[in-house]
Amino acid sequence: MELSQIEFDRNVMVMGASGTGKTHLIGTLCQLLPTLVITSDKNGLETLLNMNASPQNIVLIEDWRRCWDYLQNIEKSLRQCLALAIDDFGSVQTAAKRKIELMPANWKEERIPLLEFTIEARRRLLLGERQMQLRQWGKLWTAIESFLIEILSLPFKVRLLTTLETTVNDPRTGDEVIVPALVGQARTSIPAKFSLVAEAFVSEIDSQRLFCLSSEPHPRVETKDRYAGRVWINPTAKRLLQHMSKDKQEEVESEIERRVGFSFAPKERVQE
Amino acid sequence: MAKIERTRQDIEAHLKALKAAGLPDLVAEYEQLLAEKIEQEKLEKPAEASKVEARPAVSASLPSSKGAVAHFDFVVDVASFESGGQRLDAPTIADTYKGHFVDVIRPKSGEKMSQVWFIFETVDERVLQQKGKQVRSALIFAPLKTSEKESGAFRIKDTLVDLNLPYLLEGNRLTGDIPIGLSCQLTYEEYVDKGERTIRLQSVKLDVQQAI
Repeated sequence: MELSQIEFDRNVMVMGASGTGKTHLIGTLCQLLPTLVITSDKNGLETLLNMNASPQNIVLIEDWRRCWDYLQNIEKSLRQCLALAIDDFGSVQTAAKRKIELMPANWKEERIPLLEFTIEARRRLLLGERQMQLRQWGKLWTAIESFLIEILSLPFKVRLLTTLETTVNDPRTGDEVIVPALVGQARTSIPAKFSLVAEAFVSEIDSQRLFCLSSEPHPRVETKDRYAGRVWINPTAKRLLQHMSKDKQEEVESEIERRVGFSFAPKERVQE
Repeated sequence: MAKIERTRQDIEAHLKALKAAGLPDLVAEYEQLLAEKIEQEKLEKPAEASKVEARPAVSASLPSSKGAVAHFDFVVDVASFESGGQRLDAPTIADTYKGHFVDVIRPKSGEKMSQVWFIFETVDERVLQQKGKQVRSALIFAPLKTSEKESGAFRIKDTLVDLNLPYLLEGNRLTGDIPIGLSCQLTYEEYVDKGERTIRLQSVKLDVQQAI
């Protein structure tokens, strides 16, 4: 199945800097519904476990060579879980990249016993002496995209993916634009498959630090919202799901959320 | 890859979760799904009735801290297999609960996991030899401590995956190797081939009841 053939209804992608509440949002989803969490980020696990996420429903992707096992496990979890969350998808990519970098690159390396080779390759990578296996990466991204296609095609009712953000220069304007910190084509192909792409950030209003999430259109942030953009302060999975519900039972945007929205939105909109 | 189908019980559990979460549109979807499942079951029932002798599965429950006693025919202590019979993590949960069970299976002295290709076959055989009775329920402890590179751990993982227990290893690793108790329902057939008795598992159903 191609990515474009998958139907996405309650699919949310959240990008944001570290510490802006992305994993916390997944935690709220775990509290709301039985959720399977896929991650390669051990740091985020503490947040999730503190929010009572079930350890049995967490798949920690450490070794890309086991991706087939992971996939089978994820599939089996369908019986227990209604929702799927992928925490820090970029770290999943990094885990896969590491696999490539630690693979023998030529016949000479293949002849070295694996354990010995791995230690040496790690040492040389750390010292910057090992040539990066860039040619292999293309295959890897294909593998990751296939993995994601398989996962997203499973009939979970809710899907939430988080990733770090980064900036790139928009070639048309030369301005810096905030985009998901994903490697390769995934940076554009993955957000295209989500009906809501929002940015998590921390804002300060009236000396108050606020954890915000915005799906407002913005020329410098690649957000997207099929249900009309808005800002949430202290977002939770329940509020997001209400926003995407057919009967639109969500609470109205609060005054302070609107204020954050205006400061976040492009100048022209503020002037309106 | 075989798709895992949600059972009626799964759907009912999900519906309950959705109602508790207060998500009416998803509740409506699931009510529809449940109605379809019930309809489907009605259609399949006559076909199932014609099947020859379905073996009954024995349900088992975990001993709780409140003192309830479980009814397992045997206990598989995977940790012992991993360490080749040398206990590395004593006192274990299995020791703690030994009094509640009919038996605790340990590998023979010097026996390593690499010699045990399939835990259940080996254990079933031994229990049958010891007790001369049918084994129909089991409790498995799997505090997996060894690294993945050790073949023993791989085999345990494969076995557990076969038994529809995908997240156990991950869960244990995350929570610091806390053993997780599982109740298990299994059915099997026993046959004699060239004078050798073999046990073949027919089905295994496991439920994580509680983390100990």
